[in-house]
Amino acid sequence: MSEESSFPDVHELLQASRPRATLAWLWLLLLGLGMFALLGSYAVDTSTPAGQATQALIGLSAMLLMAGMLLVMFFVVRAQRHEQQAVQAIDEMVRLRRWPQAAEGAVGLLSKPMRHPLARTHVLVLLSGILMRYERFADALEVTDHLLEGHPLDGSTLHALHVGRALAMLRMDHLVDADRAIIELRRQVARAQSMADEQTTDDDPTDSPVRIESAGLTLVEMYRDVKTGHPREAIDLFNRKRTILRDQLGHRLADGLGMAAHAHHMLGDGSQAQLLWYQATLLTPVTEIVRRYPELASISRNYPPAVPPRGAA
Amino acid sequence: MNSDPIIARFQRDLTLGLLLKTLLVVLVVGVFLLRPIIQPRIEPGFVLLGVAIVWVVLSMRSVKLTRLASILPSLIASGQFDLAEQRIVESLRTFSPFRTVKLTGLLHLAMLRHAQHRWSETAMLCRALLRQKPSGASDLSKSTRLMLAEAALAMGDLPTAGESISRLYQQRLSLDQALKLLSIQLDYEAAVGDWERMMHNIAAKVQLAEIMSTEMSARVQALLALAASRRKCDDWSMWLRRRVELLADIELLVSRRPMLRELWTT
Repeated sequence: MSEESSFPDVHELLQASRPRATLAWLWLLLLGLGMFALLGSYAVDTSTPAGQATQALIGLSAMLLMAGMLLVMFFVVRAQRHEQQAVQAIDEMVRLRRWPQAAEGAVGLLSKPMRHPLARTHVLVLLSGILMRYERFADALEVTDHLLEGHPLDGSTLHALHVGRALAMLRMDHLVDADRAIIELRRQVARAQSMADEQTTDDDPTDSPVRIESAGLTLVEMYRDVKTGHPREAIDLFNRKRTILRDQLGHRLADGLGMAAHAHHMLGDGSQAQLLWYQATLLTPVTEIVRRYPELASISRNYPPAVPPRGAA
Repeated sequence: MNSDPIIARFQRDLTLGLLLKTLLVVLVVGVFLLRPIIQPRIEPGFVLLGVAIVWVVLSMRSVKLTRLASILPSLIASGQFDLAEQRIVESLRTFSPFRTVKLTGLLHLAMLRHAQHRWSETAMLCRALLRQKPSGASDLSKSTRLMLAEAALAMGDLPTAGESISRLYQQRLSLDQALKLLSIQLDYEAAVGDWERMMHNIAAKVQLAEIMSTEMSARVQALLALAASRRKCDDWSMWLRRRVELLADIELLVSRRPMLRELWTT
């Protein structure tokens, strides 16, 4: 699937991928019946040839039934394992930034009913990231909103989805919605902080409190500040949270560096802008930074990027 | 908690489990084969029912153990070592005839010791696991070899580290396992001074480093910078060094890998 090719309708994928209702109880019931019949065959009067034949027939039928059941269960488990492997492959494609293969895999899985609800949730989370990469922000929001409606998600996945949602809103210039999303992100961080404080008090009150920080929230706030013409706020935030951005985001620190460079440029501080832009492009190619944040295209024209050695990707 | 009695108990439980499973199979087969002889005295159906009940009870206990064990990796990752150790001890003391359950319990103990940087115990536990000859393609085997390679490297046992690394290259690894192996391999090659091999396919290695965790990424790129410096590839060395300066606290990095100090003193 190329970047230019059309993406299937996301709404159709959400409908098509819903798992079918399982009849696990039916399988267990049939298995139980088979075992009961097998044991019950011993109750038949075997003193006559007819009785012996009946017992043998019941026993054979029961064993065939149970064998059939076990065979079906074997194939069901195998199919679930294949699905799980396919999901893991898509996860790895996303992490390796092989976007066309990841998109193709996700669409392939979501085009038909998936076997396991958790596997479907995982693929949908990956799909939201893939859609962001292809700049299909409205579709990404639709998938994210679907996931946030009662799907079981762990805390960090939930937070990451909210961060992605806020970024999509900012890219679409829905600033009011983005502000609301940022408030929700701050609430999540505050809740996590109070849980961590309670945990510390329970375990050992003399321990120093754990500080909960979100690099994703920092990036979203910086982007909002840059978009809305508040460069000083963006710079202040970057200076305070630079270490958190580095520790939690690794090479994505480039996003913060790029936005800080843009903020300095807005304030007319060319030397600092140049330094930060150079650092940003040391970690991530210019094309990638500008694709994520089109507002930084102007700064890419003003300041030279870092040049990787020959042979570097 | 000393690992020696744990390993001894683990091996004893494996033997007992095998004996129990053999006994149950012998009972079931025996009931069918010897039915004409035993039927006047013992109802074969009751024997089969007894075997089924024992199997179901043991299976349910094992499912419970598996469920308890499922949170162990996250406990270890979040640094809750005491709670993790408590759960692991409970699981290893509980008898289960299922080999996978016992192997997983010992694997979790090895993971805990690995997280605690108790390298000699980690190596001992990994060897005990590998002696059971788990399937080479299984995740258990790969995870065990990765931990053994890292522990051996930390203890300066380069032959063991090298052997584990070369065995892992014969396996199909997940992305996380491949990233971990790359990190260990570079540490190993730096320890033996194989700078040329470290430089081989450096662009691909750097791309993989970019998707590692920050600390691992900085360490890997610093090792590659050192290799580039030793091989007189100054453009690579300079570029990687500058990246590392953005990703890590240099003093902390150098304190953990003293050989990297020369990158910032020359």
